[in-house]
Amino acid sequence: VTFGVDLDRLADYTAGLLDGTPQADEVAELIATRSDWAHAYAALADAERAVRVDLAGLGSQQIAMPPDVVARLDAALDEARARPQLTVISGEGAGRRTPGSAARARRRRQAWVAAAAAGVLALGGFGVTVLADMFSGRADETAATSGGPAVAQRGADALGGREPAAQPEAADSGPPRFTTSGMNYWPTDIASESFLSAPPAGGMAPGPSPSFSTGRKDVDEAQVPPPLRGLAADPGAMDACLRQVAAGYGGRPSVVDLARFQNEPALIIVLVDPAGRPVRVVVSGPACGQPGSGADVRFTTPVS
Amino acid sequence: VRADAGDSDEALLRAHTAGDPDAFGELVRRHRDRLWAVALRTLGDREDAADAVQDALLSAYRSAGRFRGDSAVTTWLHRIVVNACLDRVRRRQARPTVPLPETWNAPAAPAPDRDVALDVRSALAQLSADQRAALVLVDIHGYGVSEAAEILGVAEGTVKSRCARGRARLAVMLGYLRTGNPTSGGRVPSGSLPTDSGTEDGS
Repeated sequence: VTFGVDLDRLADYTAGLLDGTPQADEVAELIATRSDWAHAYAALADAERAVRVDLAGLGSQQIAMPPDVVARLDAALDEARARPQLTVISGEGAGRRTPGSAARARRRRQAWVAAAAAGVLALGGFGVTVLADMFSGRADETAATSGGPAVAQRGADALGGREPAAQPEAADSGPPRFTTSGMNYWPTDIASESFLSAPPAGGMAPGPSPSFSTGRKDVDEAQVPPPLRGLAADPGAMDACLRQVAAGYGGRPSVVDLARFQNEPALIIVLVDPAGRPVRVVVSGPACGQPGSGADVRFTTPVS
Repeated sequence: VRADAGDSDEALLRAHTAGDPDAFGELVRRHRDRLWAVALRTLGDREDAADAVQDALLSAYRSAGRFRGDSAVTTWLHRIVVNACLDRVRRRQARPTVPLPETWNAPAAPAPDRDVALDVRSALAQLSADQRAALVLVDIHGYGVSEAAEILGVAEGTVKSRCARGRARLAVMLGYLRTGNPTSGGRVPSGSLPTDSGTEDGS
């Protein structure tokens, strides 16, 4: 900082956050030897108290959610109730509704549950042939493009009920499925036991889901971070990326979520074993597959 | 099993995950005003706040099955809403700034004719999103540092640091710490404030 008193340091010092550290001694020395620091230190406690009073005053003003926002929220939740989540089951559960709770629990540990009802594509190479439709708002109209067995399915209403159901024809040996969950993942999310048993679109951090259309103007833009669009729109580049990931860790990319990781655009890639069981999650950045960048890995964790 | 309005938050969430179509709506009705206030004060923009709350509650609706009871339901809801707000701010990447003083003088009383609430809101809007969120939770809504840390997903020391630094900056902007610049006392000045420095890890 360029001014005389480092306000942040002084605030930390005054709050006792530097106690027992060398920085505390440094600040004490500055206060003892420099008039500007001494004046600031002397004034800060009273000033802080005044600020607290002002902030508490704001808090005393009750704010109710406006009726139009309530109505909009209710409508969105009604739509969520009317459009239950789709489930993409890998492994033994592929293509079938899970029959009972025990079997469902077992399979949920083996499944990436993709709520992106409108955003599931199957692509070639590793399956990569076409991604562009994802960004034109036509993903829900796009079926498998390279002989892959997965399908894109419009809506979930036909499935009926709230119980997640297996998406037909989702097979383990097929190409990866791409989703645009709008999620912002964190390491603790991905390393958590529940990561693979819950829908990415409803998951660890808030974000819009492609399975909802609530009339918001920014949903399409928010779904795919712009730095990933070039990679996603170039099948060769995506194929190179996934090959780098597979070469580095083994396994086969099963699901790729074009999302964010710790606020940065990233591909969240689930690797599965030959039986279709998830074995590892790899987070790759936008440079994945580019010459010299390898898989641009930002984070990885095995799936227990 | 159907929940009713007298059920606890936890019971409502359990009922929702068990298939009760009305349970989540009741939970939302119970907490929406407070969630809205936090979002509005964190974002400072009505439309952004509406989007953030909607995103967050839809996310909570779908991920309720993963709530394991490690925290109160209301803490969990606040965490999702605050994260939605902070994500939105980071995407927006536009933060107005104000100048920091070159020198310090004795504190001055704020100008008597100013609209305190308006000035405070304006000054809050000029803090970093992280500092603002911490102050909204702790100083405006009265959460303890521990719960605020849980909501924000950071260490308690980080919350303390963000609050301390945020209050100090507000003190300058609101004129409680006056600078040598005669135009800045008692009003929120314009210009540029250095971005947050240091680690704020405060652990």
